[in-house]
Amino acid sequence: MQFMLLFSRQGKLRLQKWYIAHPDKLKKKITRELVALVLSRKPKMCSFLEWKDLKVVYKRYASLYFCCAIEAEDNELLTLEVIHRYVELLDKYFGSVCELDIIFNFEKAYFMLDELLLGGEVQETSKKNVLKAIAAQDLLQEEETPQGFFEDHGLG
Amino acid sequence: MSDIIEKTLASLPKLFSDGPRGSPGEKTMPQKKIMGRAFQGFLCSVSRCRSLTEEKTYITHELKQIQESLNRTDVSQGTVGELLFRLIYCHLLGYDVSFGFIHTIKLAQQGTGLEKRMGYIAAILLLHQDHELSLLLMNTIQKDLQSTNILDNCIALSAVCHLVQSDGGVISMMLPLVQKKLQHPRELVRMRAACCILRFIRLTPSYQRHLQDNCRKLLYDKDPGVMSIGVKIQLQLLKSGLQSIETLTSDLCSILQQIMNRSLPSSFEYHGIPLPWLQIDILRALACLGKENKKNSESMYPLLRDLLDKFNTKARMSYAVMYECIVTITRIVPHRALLTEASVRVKRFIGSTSYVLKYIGVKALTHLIAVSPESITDCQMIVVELLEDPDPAIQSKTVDLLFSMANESNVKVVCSKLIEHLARPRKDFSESELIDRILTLTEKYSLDGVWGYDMVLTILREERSGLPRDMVDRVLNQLSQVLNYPRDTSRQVPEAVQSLVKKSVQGLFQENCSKELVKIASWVLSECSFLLKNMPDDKVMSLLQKQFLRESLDTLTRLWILSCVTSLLCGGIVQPGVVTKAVRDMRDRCVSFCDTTQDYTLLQKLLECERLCAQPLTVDPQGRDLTQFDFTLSYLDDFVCDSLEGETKPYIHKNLRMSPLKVDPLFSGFAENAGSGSVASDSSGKPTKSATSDSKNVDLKLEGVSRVWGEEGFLEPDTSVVDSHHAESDQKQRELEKKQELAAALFSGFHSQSKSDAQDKERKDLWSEDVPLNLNSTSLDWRALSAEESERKGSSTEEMDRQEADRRDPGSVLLDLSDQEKSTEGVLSQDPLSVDDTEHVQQGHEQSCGESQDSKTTTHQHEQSVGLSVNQKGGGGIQGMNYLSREPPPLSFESFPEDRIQDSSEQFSGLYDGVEEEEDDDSESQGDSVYSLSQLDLDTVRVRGEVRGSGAVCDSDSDGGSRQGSELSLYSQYQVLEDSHDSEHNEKVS
Repeated sequence: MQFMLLFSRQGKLRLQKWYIAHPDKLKKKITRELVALVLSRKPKMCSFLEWKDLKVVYKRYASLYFCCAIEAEDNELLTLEVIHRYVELLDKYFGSVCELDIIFNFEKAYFMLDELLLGGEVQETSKKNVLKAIAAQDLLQEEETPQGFFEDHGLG
Repeated sequence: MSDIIEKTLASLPKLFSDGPRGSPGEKTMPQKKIMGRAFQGFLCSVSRCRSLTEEKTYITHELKQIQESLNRTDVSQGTVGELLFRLIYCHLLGYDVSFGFIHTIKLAQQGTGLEKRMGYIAAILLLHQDHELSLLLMNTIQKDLQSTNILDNCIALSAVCHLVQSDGGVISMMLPLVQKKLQHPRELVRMRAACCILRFIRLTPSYQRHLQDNCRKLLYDKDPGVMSIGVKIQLQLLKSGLQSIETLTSDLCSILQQIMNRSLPSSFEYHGIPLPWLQIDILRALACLGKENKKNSESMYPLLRDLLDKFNTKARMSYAVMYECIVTITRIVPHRALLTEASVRVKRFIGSTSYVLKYIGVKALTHLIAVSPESITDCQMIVVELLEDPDPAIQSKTVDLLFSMANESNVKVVCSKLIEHLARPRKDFSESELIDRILTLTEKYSLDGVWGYDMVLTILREERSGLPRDMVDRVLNQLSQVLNYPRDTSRQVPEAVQSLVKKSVQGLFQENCSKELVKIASWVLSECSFLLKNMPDDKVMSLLQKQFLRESLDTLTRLWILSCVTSLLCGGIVQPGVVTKAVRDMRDRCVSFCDTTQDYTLLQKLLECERLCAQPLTVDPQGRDLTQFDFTLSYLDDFVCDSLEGETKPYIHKNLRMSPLKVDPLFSGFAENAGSGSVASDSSGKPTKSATSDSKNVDLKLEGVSRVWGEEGFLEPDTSVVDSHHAESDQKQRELEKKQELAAALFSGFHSQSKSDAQDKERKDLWSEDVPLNLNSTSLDWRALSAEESERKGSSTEEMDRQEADRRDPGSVLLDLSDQEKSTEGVLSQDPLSVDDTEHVQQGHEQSCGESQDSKTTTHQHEQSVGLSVNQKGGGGIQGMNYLSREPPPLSFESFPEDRIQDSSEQFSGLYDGVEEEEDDDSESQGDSVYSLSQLDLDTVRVRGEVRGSGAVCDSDSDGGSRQGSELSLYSQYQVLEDSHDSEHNEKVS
């Protein structure tokens, strides 16, 4: 996967994660053009695009578009499922996730994405394990000596 | 995950409490807020901004403040983290936050626990691997990799994945540490380390050999997650062509078998499918392993068959795996029964109502067609429809499909379709790629050269920006093969060449053709100038002159035209007087429209032309021999032999020359002998030098040498030259004969087709109007493929076959249609014509159904042989039956997973439905300006923000309330089922 973008129906970027190194200027350009392109698609079209040398897979969930750029040989259906898995995770974590959750807790959304994908590859395919890992991180922010807690359980 | 974490979670039930089920949208989890109230306030005020300028002023102000506070020393690390996250948000909105980069690194270095993590996350998001500052983080990463805290390890490994550069010694510095982590007791760490290894292998392939053993071990890891990464690594190794160990196939097969038997933990299941990601990776690896490897392929046949049979769930994920399975089947050494199975699957993909599945189906078909071209016969109709699909993405995929299914008999139709797509105004698929494909096809199947040239001329009718750079060269290369016919005066000029010239002239008559066309056409004219003899010369000249004077042409193209004029002049096609007049005119005009900068190249060439007119130098336009040079100088052979006999010393290379004093008198005789021996071999090699090197005592005898160059220039060759060419020309003759035979073979094949050419043309016209008729014609083409073997037997049987096929085809096609309708429940719009005919076909259908029932009871091998024999017969109808007999229970494609969920259990008001509802609601407001919409959105944001910020006491409650009210809920009750599933699993575990 080359990058993942989340944007609203108004074209506002909500989340971006790049797995390839591009200068900021280029990133902005790609984002702008891609958002416009995806927003112009009709609902009855398939959720795959070939744009320049990129293959783009997008999916709309309520008012949010999830949009991934993948390599030429990647499986598009699988990418759709990665997106779906991410939404499932967000949903599981936030209860019933909505765009606002992602705006106001975007750091959580990033944490979650990092657990799911590492370096553009699906890392953890078990939903449970992802949630556990997030939970373990949440423990960190409980002020009560997280380090000690782990050591107590033989984790340190 | 280990038991310890399980305990951890058990001790913190509130983290994963199931919460009260039933009420939709209620918050089940207490929100953990890393950021303080101030951060939320920041987000609120950003979203409250009513215009871009307002937002800009606010954020620039805010960024200034952030910068100030970051530079202070008395800020706590927690605050720094929060400020960094504000920066990330600003970065997201597109503002420059580069001043904060260094602080992310600082925080990652100095912080502990959460702060460290925040620092790392910010660094990963804001920096990238090529950023210079990311080097500064490497020390910290190394330190954290050695830490005992697993979370530190994890985040450091993530950072390695994102930020380690491909060049330099950073990888080699990190590698030992990462390798050590591969042995870590916790799978969480092992998995990340494995990911890093995968990344390293991708960045620097030279590490592959070094890491092979490590990677191999990962395959046997007890944790499925780590093992999946191991498979990914193996896949990467396979892709880069590294020779793998023999046992890899069996290992992967056994893993796949385990997955299919569901012997791996159920927590890795995804919507009821066990480890789909791993399955897909294994399938891809198998495709690499089985490619052109019969032994490996044979070991996976049964497994792939089982896998295909297992797909009965309607989850989208299973389609993804199925697609991958089909691709694997097409990549490995082909197995007929498997391919037949695959084609049944593909047919249903393509016939689906879901655009996503259609797209995937077309892709799968493209793969399939490369291996078994006959599989498309069932889906012709759908493919034809897909070509006109409203979705450009599907269209472009279908064009890919067309390209890959082109063969000798249908290439014309395919190309005309491709050109049709080229003419469409939409720029959805790249023009250059399409043109490149058409060119490749014309090169691959150049039937007689004329058709290919036609295609090229059609493409070049107007100026195009996306032409391949080497287009002109490729076309000329192709044309020169056509023009390379035997140049005998007795023989007639082939028709193809005549029509080439005719078409070139026609092309030049177009006012606004592209400059590539001008180049190509003028090249053709100059090559075949003698064919223009019948044309009045002033007409030819005025044509070229008109093209020359077009404003839009560049110098290069004009030069091409001028060289054409020159060759016409030299060929004696046009009279010097006419040319002089035209050239003068051109020069005058040239001066006038190049007034700013004189184009000296052009002027020079024009002048040259004019001089040539004054002293015309005519060359025989048909005499190819004039332009051929004998670089071996074989015509000197006689001369050399003569002079050698006449006591001339043989030529000795400068380096080998020895002074005669050094020759031992004992060996003198030998030396002479050896010398004379070498003459024979040398004589044709470098005879000129032997003549010139010793010219002191030999006075350049010229008796045997034909005079090629005279005072006036190149002379007409006399017969002696021809004689000396004898050996060569003999060979040429043989080559020519071979070519003629080939051409005759080609043309005989072409001739039998050309009979039907007239009909073909009719069909072509009908293409767009009457689909069923046209289908017959295309099916004829496709059928030719499957009946390839019978075609080889002879052209006489071919005729009969065709008649047979003609009789059968309509039936078979309609039959397939009726199958399609059954399984897809009226996906295709039914044609009244086809309905009329279906009835009597149905009878045959039932009959053969009975047959296939019988065959079902027989063994697998038998079934296979039945399929084969049917194929040889080429009877499409029976073949179709055979497919049907082995069809697994039909999936109803109309109900896509999410819809199904909704249908079957009402409690699922999934996310997807939300989408559709929303669409209906918003369809009216969509007409409004974008900004007002965003305004609406922002208002809700504010409300939410206030609610959230209003205090900890009523936080969770009011949140839930507001959620219930809001329609924005993305994912309402989806988790209900998931929860129950999970809890069941938990019970099992406990």
